[in-house]
Amino acid sequence: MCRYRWSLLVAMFVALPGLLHGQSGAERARLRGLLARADSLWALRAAQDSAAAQLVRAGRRARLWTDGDVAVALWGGVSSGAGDSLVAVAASQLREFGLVPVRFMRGIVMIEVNAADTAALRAAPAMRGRQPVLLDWVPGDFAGAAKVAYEITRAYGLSLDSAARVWLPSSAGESWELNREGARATRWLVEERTTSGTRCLAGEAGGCRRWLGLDDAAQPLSARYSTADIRRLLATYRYSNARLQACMGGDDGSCYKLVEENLTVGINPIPAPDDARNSLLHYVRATRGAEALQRVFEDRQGLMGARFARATGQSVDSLVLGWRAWVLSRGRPERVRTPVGEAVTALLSAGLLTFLATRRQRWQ
Amino acid sequence: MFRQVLSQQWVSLRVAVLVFVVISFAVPLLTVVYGGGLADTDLPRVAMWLDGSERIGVLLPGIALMLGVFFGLGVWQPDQVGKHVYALALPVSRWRYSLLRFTAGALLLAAPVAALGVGSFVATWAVDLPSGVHAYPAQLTFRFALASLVCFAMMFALASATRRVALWLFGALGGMLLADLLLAAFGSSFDVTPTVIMALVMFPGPLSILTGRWALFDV
Repeated sequence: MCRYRWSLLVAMFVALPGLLHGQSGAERARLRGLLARADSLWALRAAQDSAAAQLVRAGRRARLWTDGDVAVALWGGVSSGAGDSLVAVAASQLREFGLVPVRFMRGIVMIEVNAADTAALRAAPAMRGRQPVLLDWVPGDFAGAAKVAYEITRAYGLSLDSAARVWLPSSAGESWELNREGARATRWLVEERTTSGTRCLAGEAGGCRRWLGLDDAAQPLSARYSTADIRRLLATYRYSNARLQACMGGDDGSCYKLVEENLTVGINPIPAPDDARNSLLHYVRATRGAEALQRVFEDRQGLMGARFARATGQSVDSLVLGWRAWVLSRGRPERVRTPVGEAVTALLSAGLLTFLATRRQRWQ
Repeated sequence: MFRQVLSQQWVSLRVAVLVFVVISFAVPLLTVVYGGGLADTDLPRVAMWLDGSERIGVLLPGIALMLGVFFGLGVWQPDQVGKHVYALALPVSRWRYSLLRFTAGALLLAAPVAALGVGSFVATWAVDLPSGVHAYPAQLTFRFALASLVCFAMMFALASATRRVALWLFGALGGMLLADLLLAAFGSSFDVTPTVIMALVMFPGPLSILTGRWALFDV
């Protein structure tokens, strides 16, 4: 029926000019009636489209989910259980890692990209003043909570000063496991071929400082990379230019200038990759607590090495050597041992069970 | 009298003792089956080797548990088969008889523990460890001894209990499962059974000795 109606409309529009020309008055009146009918059908269709759009919009209307200080606006189609779980897990993950201060979390609200009509939510008294942070998340994605935690950490990273922003690894805030990410940091260190990295692996604190970008050198690049390192890293670089040719030809100055002027050639100002720097954050957290981790990034004075030293209350050298041992043992600070408490508990349990078994009088 | 009880238990448990002696001796040796010359090996390979050692170490609490189950139940088996006639014919009180049974069982338990100790020391001597990696044969044996003793005491107490106690225990277990089902039906995220299990296996729980690190070789 509907298809017939639209076919009729199309046929009418195609045939209309010919039909109007040379038609009698009665036929013209009939055609005008048909045109009026067509207009009303168009209006009906527009109203239907608008209603459908409103329905979709209502379905996508944002709903706010909060857990402690974490606030996330998700589209309306997310079920109660899924929303609760997403925000609770993200909040717990953030609390557990402890890098992002509560003050920062209270100042933002995550807005999922599919969520519509978020203005009303943001105008609510509890949400007023919170800065919106876009959350690119596909509902149903299992890693939704991790994504929320990651985006909040990323937003926090962007709010830091330039030294901390450059240093903070992009993987900070992602889920981190000793056997997976910790082992990856070990592999980076073991397979590292830059001068600073190999010196760090050999146990030289200065090498670790430079590799992790915690040194206080006036010219960090020349301290962190030797010209041999730069040439080796650039050996496979495709796009040749005069400075690159000069560097490869033996001009050391060109090598450093090349890296300083254009950091897109694949040489990061900090030799240690994200995984390695992330493992340092987890080391600080594991040994000095989440508060120390927060102090590192709350501190806006001086270079990163000095901030780490102040926050952890130890010299940068002892910090990096501790981290090195921790990473090489894949984050396991404790050796195989039976603590006295465990041994005593085991013996007491065995004694108590034996006592219970022997004190009975009945045989069966 | 202790000698008679011990001899009777040996007769009923000798197969289990021998099997566990062989297993306990062999498990530490599995960690060095891939080769002993590690001093000059590169670090990633050592890390892989340590991973392997840790995975094999995970078997040990399981063996300690099995040891406890077999020995704890086994020491009471002759009495249960003979309807306690032998025990009742002896001029000793029940608590003293139970203590004799426990001591004899614990003594038999020492054989697999000693075998694990010997196996661990043999494995340690067979391997040339790189700097930074250490062997923990004594610690591992001590931990295994404690874990076996706790499991043995637990099973010993359970096996000596009356049917009423056994029913009560099974009832408690069923009650926990039922409580979990009801809590889940009402949408609660609290689980009774996992909480109880965690309380048992996490310090200061009686079975906390079964968790923790069990590797023969580690940093």
